[in-house]
Amino acid sequence: MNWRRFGASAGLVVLTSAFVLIGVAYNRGGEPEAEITLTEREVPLSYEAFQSEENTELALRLHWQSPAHRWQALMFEPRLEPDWFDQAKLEAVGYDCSLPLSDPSAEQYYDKMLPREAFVVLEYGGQAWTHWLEDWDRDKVFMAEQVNKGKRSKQDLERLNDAYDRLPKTGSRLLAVDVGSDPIQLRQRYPERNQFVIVRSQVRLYLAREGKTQSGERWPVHLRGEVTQLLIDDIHVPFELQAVLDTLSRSEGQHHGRTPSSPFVRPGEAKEPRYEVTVRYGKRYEPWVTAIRPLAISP
Amino acid sequence: MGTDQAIDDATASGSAGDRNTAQQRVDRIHAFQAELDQLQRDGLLALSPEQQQRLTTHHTQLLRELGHQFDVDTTAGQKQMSLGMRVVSFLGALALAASVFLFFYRIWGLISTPIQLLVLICGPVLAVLAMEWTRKREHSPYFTSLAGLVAFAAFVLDLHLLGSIFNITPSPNAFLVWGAFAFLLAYAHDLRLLLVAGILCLLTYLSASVGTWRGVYWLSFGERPENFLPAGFLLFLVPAVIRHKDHPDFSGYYRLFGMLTVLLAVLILSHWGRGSYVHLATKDIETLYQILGFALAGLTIWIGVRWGWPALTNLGSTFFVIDLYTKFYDWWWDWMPKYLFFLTLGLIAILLLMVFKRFRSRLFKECLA
Repeated sequence: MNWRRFGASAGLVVLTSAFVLIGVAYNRGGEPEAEITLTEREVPLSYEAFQSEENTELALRLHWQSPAHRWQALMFEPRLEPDWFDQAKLEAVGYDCSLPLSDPSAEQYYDKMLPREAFVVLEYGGQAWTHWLEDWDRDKVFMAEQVNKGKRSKQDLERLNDAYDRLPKTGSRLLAVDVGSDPIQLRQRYPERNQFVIVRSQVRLYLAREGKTQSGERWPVHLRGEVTQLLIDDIHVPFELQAVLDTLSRSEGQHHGRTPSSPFVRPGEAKEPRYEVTVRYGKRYEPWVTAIRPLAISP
Repeated sequence: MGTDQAIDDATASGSAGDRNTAQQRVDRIHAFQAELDQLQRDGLLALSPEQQQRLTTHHTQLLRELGHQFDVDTTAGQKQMSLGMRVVSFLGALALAASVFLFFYRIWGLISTPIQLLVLICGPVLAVLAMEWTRKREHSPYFTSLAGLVAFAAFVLDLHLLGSIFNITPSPNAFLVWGAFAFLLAYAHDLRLLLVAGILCLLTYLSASVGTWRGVYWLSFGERPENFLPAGFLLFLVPAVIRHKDHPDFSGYYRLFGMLTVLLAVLILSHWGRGSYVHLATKDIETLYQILGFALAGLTIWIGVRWGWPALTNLGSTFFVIDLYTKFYDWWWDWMPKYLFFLTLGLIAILLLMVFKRFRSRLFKECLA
C-alpha cells in the first residue's frame, strides 16, 4: 500500500469537502442577509418530490413571477405597457447597448448577446403584488373588449377569468421587481429584509422587434431584459424539517407535480396553501430552510 | 544479458510504467522470434543447436518471469482476452458508478444531514482505498481501473450533492477539482480512462472560464464554440511543457483530445456562423471558419507525419474529409441528381487516395535515402 499516493487522493476529497463546508458556514454565519416567511404558494414542493422511490430528496421550488409570465395568460400577445427591465437595467448588469438600434447590424449584434449572471430583487406581497393584481384586472377588461370585437374567442376569456379567480388565493406573491450587478446597492434600495430577497439569477437581453398586436397597437423596436431563471430555484429541505412535508409529498404523487400555484393546475385542483416556510439567505445569497409550519385550511 | 538484468530494465522506468515496459519487451521478443524463424527458413542465418537452445531457454525464462511479475500478455490468446477484459472492466465500472449514484439518491431523503455528509465524503475515500488494495494484489489494471472510475463517480456525486444539500450556487470550479482528482488517480495508477475523464473536466473548466471572462454566465459557454479553442490548444501543448517520462502514451491523449476539440469547434462554426463572437455577416464567418478548418486539418496531418504521431494524422485526415464532404453537400446536393452527387464523391475519394499514395511513396523514398 502506497500511503503517499492514497493520502494525495483522499486528501483532495477531504480538503475539497471541508472547503465547501467552510463556505456553507460562512454563508450561514452572523446576521442573515434576508429572512422571509413564504407559503406553499411561493415554495411548492419541487417536482422531484413527486417522482418515485428512486429519489427520496425533498425540496421546495421557489416559485416567482414576472411580467413575461402574465403574457402567457394572454397567449403570447402582450399589451403595450412599461416594463421595469429596460435598456438602462440591461446596461447596469453589464450588457453593452451602445450600438444604436437604427444601425443595420444592430439586429445581429443584439441577437448574439448571451445570458449573464445578475442579482434580482424579489418582493413578497406589497406594492408589486397589488399592481400585479390590478394589471390582471386590466387584462380581463382588455380581453372582454377583444371578445366583443370578435378578435378573441369566449374560451380565451373564460381561461383568463379562471386564472384570475384563482390568483388571489393561490398565485405566488413573489415578484421580480429589480435587477443589478451589485447586491449591496440593491439592498440599500430595498432595505426591508423580510419583504425583499436578493437572489442570484440568469438574465438575458433580447431585441423586441417592431410590431403590433391584433388590436392594432404598435410598439417600436427596443431592448428588453428578461430574468430567465434563478440560479438556486430548488431549496433542499433537511431531513430534520421534513415531517410536515413528507405526508404531503406522498399524497400529492398522483398530481404529477401540479402544485397549487402552478399555471397548470386545473380549476378544480386549486387549493389554499397548507404550510409556511421560513427561508434565510446568507452572505453568499444562498438560501436555507429554518422552519416549516402547517397552516390551518379554511373549510 | 541475463534474465534478471532484463527484468531490471523493464522496471527501470519507474513504477507506473513497469507493466507497459514489460509488455513492450514481450512484444519485441515475439517479433524477434518471428523474424529469426523467417531468416532461418530463407537460409540467411543459421544458429548452432547450442545457440538456438540457449536463446530459446533465455526467452522462455524471460517470458515466464515477466508474465509472473507484471501479469503481461505473453501469447496472442492472452492479448485477445485482455482486450475483452478491458471492455468488461469499463462496462462494470459504468454499472457500479451508476449504482453508487442511484443508491445515494434512493436513501438520502431518509438520513440526517451529518450522515449524508459522512457517506458522501467516505465514499470516494473508500474507493481510493479499494484501488490501492487491488493494485497491491495484482499487476493487471482491470480491477484498479474499475475501482478508479467508481472513486471518480463517488467524488462527482460528493460535490454535486453537497451543492444540492446546502443550496450552493453552481460553479465551474467543480470541474477543476474533479479534473485534479481524475489526474491524480490516472498518474498514480497509470489509468487511461481516468486520464480522459480528467482531460474532459479540464476542458470544460477552461472553456467555461473563457466564457465567464467575456461576462457570459458560465453554463452558457457551450453556446459559443470559440470558448473551446483556447482550451483545445492549451491541452495540445501540455506534452510540450510537461514531459511524460513515466507515462509515454499519455502525451498522445492530450494531443488527440486537444486537437479534436479545436477541429470540432471550427467544424461547427463553419456551418453555424451565428454561434461566433465575431461581428461579421454570418456567411463571412462561416467562410472564414471553412478555410480555417481545411488549414487546421492539413496542419494536423503534417504534424502527425512530421513527428510520427499516427493518431493525429488519422484525426486530421478524418476532419479534412468531413470538411470537404460537408462543403460538397452544401454546394451540390440540391441541384445535382443524387447518383451524380455520390459518383462525384466516389471519384474525389479515388483522387484523394492517389494523392495520399504519392505522398506515402515520397515518404518511403525519403526513409530509404
